[in-house]
Amino acid sequence: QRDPAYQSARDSQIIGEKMDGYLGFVSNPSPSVKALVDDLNIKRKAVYTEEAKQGRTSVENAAFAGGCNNIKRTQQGEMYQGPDGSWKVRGASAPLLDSKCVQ
Amino acid sequence: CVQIAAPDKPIVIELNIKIEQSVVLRIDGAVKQAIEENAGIF
Amino acid sequence: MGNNQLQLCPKSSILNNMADQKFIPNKIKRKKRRLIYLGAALLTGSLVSYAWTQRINITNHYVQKEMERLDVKGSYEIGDFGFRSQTIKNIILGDPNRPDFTAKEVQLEWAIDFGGPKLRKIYAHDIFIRGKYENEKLSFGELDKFSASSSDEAFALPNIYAHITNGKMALSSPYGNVDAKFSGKGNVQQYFVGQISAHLPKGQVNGCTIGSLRLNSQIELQQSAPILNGPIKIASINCATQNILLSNIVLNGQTSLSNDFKSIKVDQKLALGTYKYGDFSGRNVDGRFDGNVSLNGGTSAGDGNIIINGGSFSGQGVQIAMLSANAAVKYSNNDNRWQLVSNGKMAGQNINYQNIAGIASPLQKMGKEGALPVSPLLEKLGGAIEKAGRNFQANSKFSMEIDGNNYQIYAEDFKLSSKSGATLYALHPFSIGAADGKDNISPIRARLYGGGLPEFRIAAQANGGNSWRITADMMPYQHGEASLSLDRISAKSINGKDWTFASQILLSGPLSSGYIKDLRTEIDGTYSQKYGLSALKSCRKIAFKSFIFDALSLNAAQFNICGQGKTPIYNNGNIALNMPALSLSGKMGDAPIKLQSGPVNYSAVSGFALNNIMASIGEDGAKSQINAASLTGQINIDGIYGRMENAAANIVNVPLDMQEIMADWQFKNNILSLNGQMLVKDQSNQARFKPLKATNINAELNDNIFYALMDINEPSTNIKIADVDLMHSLSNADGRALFSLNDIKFDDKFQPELLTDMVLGVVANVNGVVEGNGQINWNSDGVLSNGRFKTDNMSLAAAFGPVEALQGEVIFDDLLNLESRPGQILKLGSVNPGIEALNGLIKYQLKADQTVVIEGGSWPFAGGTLILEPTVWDLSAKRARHLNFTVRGVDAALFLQQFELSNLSATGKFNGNLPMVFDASGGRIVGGQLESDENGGTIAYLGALSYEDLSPYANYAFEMLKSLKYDNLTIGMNGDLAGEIITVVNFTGLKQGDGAKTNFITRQIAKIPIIFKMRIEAEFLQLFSSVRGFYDPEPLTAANMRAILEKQKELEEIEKAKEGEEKNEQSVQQNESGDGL
Repeated sequence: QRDPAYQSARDSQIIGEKMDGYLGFVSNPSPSVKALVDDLNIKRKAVYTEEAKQGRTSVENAAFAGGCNNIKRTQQGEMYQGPDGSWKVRGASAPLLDSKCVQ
Repeated sequence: CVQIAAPDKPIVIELNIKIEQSVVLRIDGAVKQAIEENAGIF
Repeated sequence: MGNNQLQLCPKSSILNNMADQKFIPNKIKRKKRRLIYLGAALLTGSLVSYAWTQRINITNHYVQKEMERLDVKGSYEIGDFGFRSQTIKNIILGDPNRPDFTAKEVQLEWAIDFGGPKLRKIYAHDIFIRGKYENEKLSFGELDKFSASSSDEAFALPNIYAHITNGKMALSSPYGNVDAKFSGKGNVQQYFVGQISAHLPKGQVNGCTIGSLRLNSQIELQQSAPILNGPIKIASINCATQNILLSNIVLNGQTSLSNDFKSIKVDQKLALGTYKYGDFSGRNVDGRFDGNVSLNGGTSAGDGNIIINGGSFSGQGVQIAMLSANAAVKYSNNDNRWQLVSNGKMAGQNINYQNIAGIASPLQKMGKEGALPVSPLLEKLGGAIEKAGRNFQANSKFSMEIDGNNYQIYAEDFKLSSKSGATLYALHPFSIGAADGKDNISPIRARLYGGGLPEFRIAAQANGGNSWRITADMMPYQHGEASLSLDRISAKSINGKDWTFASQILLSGPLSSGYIKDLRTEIDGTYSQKYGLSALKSCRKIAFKSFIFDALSLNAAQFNICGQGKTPIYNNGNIALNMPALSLSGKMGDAPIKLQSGPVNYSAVSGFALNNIMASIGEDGAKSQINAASLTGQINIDGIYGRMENAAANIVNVPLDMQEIMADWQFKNNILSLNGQMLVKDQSNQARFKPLKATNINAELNDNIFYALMDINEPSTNIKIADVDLMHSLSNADGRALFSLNDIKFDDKFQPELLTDMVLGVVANVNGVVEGNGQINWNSDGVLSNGRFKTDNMSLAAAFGPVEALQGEVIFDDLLNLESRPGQILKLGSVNPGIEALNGLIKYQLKADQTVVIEGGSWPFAGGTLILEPTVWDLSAKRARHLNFTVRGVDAALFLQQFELSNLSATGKFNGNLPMVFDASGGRIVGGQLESDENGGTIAYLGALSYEDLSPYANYAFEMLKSLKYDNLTIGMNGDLAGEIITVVNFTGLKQGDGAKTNFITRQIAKIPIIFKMRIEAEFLQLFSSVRGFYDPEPLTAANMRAILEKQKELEEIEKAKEGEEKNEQSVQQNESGDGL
């Protein structure tokens, strides 16, 4: 049940899932998309912080684990960050994941 | 007996410790579930 | 009284009767003439009968011969017979049962002279003559035979002395049968005097029936010219066709005829009981008339004077108690063509016009009930008309000419004057008449004034038939404050019933409870009996000089008004008008106001509606404005009420825009009240809050003060967030607004971004209740505002991580610029930028220029405290923020215990500082430096080490590390609080820690100063939890909705700002240490 503006930003490949678990900007976003992504990242951080606390690890690790999953959940045509750090378009096949991710 | 010549300078021990834990594996399940529970923001 | 004339037509009067406007056709005129003939016939009949008896030369030897000669049937007895006088008795001539002539005794006296016997005297007693008048010939049956001459021979009386006693006559004529008695004596040719009384029980003269005519007068023959003196009484004259009815007519006076009966002289006093002509009627008329009539053959002519000095008249609502007139009359009538000329004076006393009330009372009623400027005048006019019509008198000189069907009446000095002082008079003579069937009425110019009536100058021009053209000017007509003047009034009618009129109107007077001055426009309209009054058909200009209504005074304005569709603006009682536009300006109190409106329409039924209105009040630069898409209203007796839709307004000095106003309004006893709802928007371009919906607005404008109470709701959820109480004085533009939050409860269904855009991307997942209130005061000098906001337990997620159990109150001294008092306290139950920091406390002050002064902050941390050094952040820039933390007395053991570092234990107290930088993604320690205090401490590492190929010394060192005492331990830290921290640990002054294996070597070495450098890159929990540089140093309390901007200026500017603040810091520090934070 994603916010329509958020979904359309994903569909139009303006934003993509980063390895670090947060949303990143593939192209220059409008102020409203920027504010929307900042808001989503804050909410993601709160979840990651909670998971970090539970899992006795750093928020960064929890976020990284999140990133792996987010990239796995991308739909065809959405953007994600490849292990080499560059933006990739999700194809029909499984996305390229960082070695540390659970394949 | 063994005489260790105490060096005149202070002994400088440089030690780099890199503690690395690969935790991703451990917490992946929990994080996956958390993501699904908050699908709206992921 | 118009041009109808009074008719007096007693039987023997000479004056002909002139019918009303239309003259009577010829048939009636011939009847009139015969009536005259009857009179003349009666007269001559009685004379002729006398004369006839004289000519009969009754001598004893002639009579018989004569009778035989003339074949006269009759009998007589001869009485004593002398030479000079003979007496004949019991004479009966004609049919004995119905004798034409009887005489009891006739005595004749003869005079002998050389010409033979001449009859000198006749004495006749108890004689009876039977006469008959038919087709204009008089016959006496048998007596005719004695007449020597044919009937139309010149008629002359003999020179004989006659003495008649107890004479009787029965005269029958188509006009009725007359019984007369007569007596008298004297020389018929010179002077004869006698008495005659005649009775006509019922007469019939061309259509008129005469009821019981009685004549009783003295008769004289002077030189054979008969003179009658004495009363004639006529019970009634009823001319059905001419609809005339006269009753108990009494004529008293003298009528004298010429001896040839050709001319008649009349001098009669008249008394008329009642008269009725058409629907005119009257009673007790008395008058006099005298004049001469000459008859020859079919023609007759006459002249004379009529005086009426009394008599009542009533007709068509007019009652004249005392009508008087005196006029000279001249008439002629030849073979049915009447000509009459008359002139004289006429007057009517205490005239009363009955249906005056029909005109007066509606005017009075309209005046009393109406609330229009003209109402007082209508009331006065109604009263004046009513008084004027009750009792007035009329006078006029007149002259009249009638010629057959044509007539012409001239009126001069025509004047109506009422007891009330009202006067109407004709400025110059005017004439009314008709020629060849066409009326012609001369122009009439008249003046009306007095008695409380408006003063008019009227000119009326009739052009044939009933068509009229009237022009008039009315002088200003005043009553109380109301005054009206009508210029260039013009009215036209072609049939006397339907009129069109126009006039320039200038009107001042009360309008509902205000006063309008010099309302000026042009009226045009029509009045018809069928369709009533309608006016103002086409569009026209209306202007007024001023309109004052309590504190409101409007300057001069003009605008166009038009009818709706084809109907005229005033249509038979109801008013409906449109105005293409309306623009007014003026003052409310001493504040200038302006009003502009698009199309306006008004009708008495549906009230008024204004479209796209723009109104403003206040001097330029300090204006309160309201624009509305539509404003509708209904006017009823106690006030005006209506609806305003899609309006927008702003009040000077109040930094809010009010939009989409929908309100019902009511204006009653001078109070304007509104109820409805609207949207409130922040005027500043970086809107501090999203549009809010104000509902249950209850506003009132009373004596120039605007009050309003309202609920403020968040539009999409309709959740009430505040109550507002607003007061603003329109005249001096000062006011205040109090608002109190309605304990705003933020939860997953109600987030601050619903209220303001500034929080999106700054804070999220806000949970908690914010309460507070604020006040804004404004006046001509400026705006003051303050507020107090509080939350007892709030949690939120921010860029630097979640915050929980946030508690604090902020007091704003300048709410609108979001400047708080110094020393505001914020308690943070827990902040988790990566490492959870509990029970933090910050002292800060928000500054108007979007900066925040952090006066200090502290966290209990691992046995010591973490002290946030004062700094200043400029929120207007979006950039990394710097926070510098001083560490005091942190206990290494407690620190490590907090992070359950099972394989490391240490003791010792540490101090130092941790400079942190916060940005969009989180917080980092940059050049953190901690140092153990002078007591040193111990440290032991119990974990496995990954390096095997350490040098002996290294191994030794590790062995030492297992339990180590140090004199001085410094830790350098760098890295992401939420991620990897690189810690460089330096030990100096090492000694074996308790419990470490000590042996000789270690004791030797123990003396050697060892500097132990350890670099730990560990993802394990951050070494220190510290208040990280917030993405935004000031945790947003949703309550104070203040502006938070993204980037902070470059580090250097901060350094500059910091140096600037150095002094401030020292001063803050002094008071800092003072209160032992």
